[in-house]
Amino acid sequence: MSALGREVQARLDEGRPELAWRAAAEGLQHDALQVREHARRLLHDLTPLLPLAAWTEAHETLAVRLHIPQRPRPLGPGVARFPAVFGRLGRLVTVTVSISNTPQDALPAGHEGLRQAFDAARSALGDPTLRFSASFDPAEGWDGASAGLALGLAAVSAAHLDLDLSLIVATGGLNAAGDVMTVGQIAEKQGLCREAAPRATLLTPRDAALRLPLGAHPVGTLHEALRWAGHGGDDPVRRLILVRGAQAEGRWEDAAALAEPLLADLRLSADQLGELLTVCLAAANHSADAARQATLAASLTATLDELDGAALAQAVGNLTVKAIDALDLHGAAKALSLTPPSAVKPRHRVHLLGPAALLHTLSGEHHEALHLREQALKIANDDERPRAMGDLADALMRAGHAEEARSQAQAALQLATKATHRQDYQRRTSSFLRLHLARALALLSRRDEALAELEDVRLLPGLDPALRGKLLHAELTQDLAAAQGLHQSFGASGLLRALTLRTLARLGDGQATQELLALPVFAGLSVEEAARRLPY
Amino acid sequence: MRLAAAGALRDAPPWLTLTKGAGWEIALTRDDDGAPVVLCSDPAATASVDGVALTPTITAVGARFPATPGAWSVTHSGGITRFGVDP
Repeated sequence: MSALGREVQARLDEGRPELAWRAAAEGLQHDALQVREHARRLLHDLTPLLPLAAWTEAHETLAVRLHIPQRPRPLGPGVARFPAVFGRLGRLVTVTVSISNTPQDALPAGHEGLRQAFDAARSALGDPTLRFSASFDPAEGWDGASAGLALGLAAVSAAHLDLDLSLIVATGGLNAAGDVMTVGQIAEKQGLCREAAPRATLLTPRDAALRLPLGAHPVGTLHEALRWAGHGGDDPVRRLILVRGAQAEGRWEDAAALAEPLLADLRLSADQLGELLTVCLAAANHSADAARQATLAASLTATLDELDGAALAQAVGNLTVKAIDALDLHGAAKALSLTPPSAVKPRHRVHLLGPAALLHTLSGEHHEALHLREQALKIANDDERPRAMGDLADALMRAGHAEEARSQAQAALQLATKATHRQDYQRRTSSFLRLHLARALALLSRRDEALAELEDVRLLPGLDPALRGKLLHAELTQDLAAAQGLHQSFGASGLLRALTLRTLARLGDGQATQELLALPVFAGLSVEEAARRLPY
Repeated sequence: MRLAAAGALRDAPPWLTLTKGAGWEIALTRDDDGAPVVLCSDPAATASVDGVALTPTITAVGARFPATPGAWSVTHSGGITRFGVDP
């Protein structure tokens, strides 16, 4: 065998077909025509052996130039891959599962510990009678429970023939309840996947103790992994549609979780990337994650030139909100000046009127804010009307019209409850509307009714509006200890600190009052006015 | 994963260099289906046999022509090369 042939075979023997391909491709640069022609033949032979997840645009380009007719194939039902690393070396291991008619599950000797993955798969499939048989390639040379998640996915895929795992690599233990368990060497496995399966998403345990880079996705359960695998596919535009769907439902964090792995996808256009960055920034704004807000805002600002229409309005709106959340009046005004509401088409203006109103609120221009909220309500479509009415209620309160605010919030709540479209979105909207209603009732000294409205809000999962509900509850019940607890838990910095300080100040905490009024944006104001200007 | 086990790994092709110069080479070899071909390292090369032009397959490696028997004339970056291919 020639030197080139030996080199290619050596990489294959290591289980690294993508490295074998690379070696053969380098042979195309050899001085001798015979070696170059041999390299072409080897690439022809190697193509069907490459995982689909390793087949990049560069591979495709070269295959076209070499007239290679074949392409890597999908894995097929019941097949999944997981990364196995040992020291410097590593490879993807293929697990193949089939439905078995034996009374017991069958696992290769030495891997019986993975049996719980089959229990999890049966549970996910809702069929306790199923039995599975598994094999691994290679059968040996790797170790551990980290194959569990891939085994569970492969078992479900064996029953659900349309579940394609070609672009998924999974690592993690799996218990019988379907929980994905921590495993080691996540960073090494990510490195391996970047080389061996660059198009794949690496599913990892959610509690992997490191910040996951793009291209990896944390999952806590087999169900989550299946959802990702089923929804993931490889088509970034398909994923983009899922992102838009989650965003349209007001599920900001879900939208961002779907969007984030796409940020490094080179197949997306600059305007699509800008759209995704906006989605991620909106989620960071909603969770008041200041560090994430800053990072995303910098990236989004760099892509603004690529955006127009609604995408530009949304991007600028979210950049403005990010600056407002940092209580940065100058930064917010600067962001908004990039595309003021008057510069966009009327149908896109709604994305900028809200941020502009927040800016007026933070500046103490409450009647101007009210005016913008009224404009926004006029142009809101039916789906957005309850939320726009809630925002108007907020502005009415700040402008001193508590009874009108109560009436507006009440009407918005009724409208959201009656809505027949986008019911999930309206349910989420209802939580914000209840908070507005409770605030208006509190201003009208109707404490008990306010507390009743808050009951559901403060028990909601997530940060917003639950935290604001808890803070208002503490204010209404004069529960200083609860307010201090919330301040300790959430008030480390930024907007959340300002919100918890406001509650403490309203409850008479002198130190909190001092700190709140020491913020540059509130310098020289009374506590009441500072509290009124603090948006949210 | 051994390609040989699947009968897929092919070694270097049978090879006969017909002529070569600075930066170019013409060889007789076999294509992926085992048929004899003339391979010229210049992908822009043109060839005719007994005066009849041949249609090349252009790849990143060069221009490949079916090894039709007869009197060959290949025009390439190094000039014109003439040779014969026996049946």
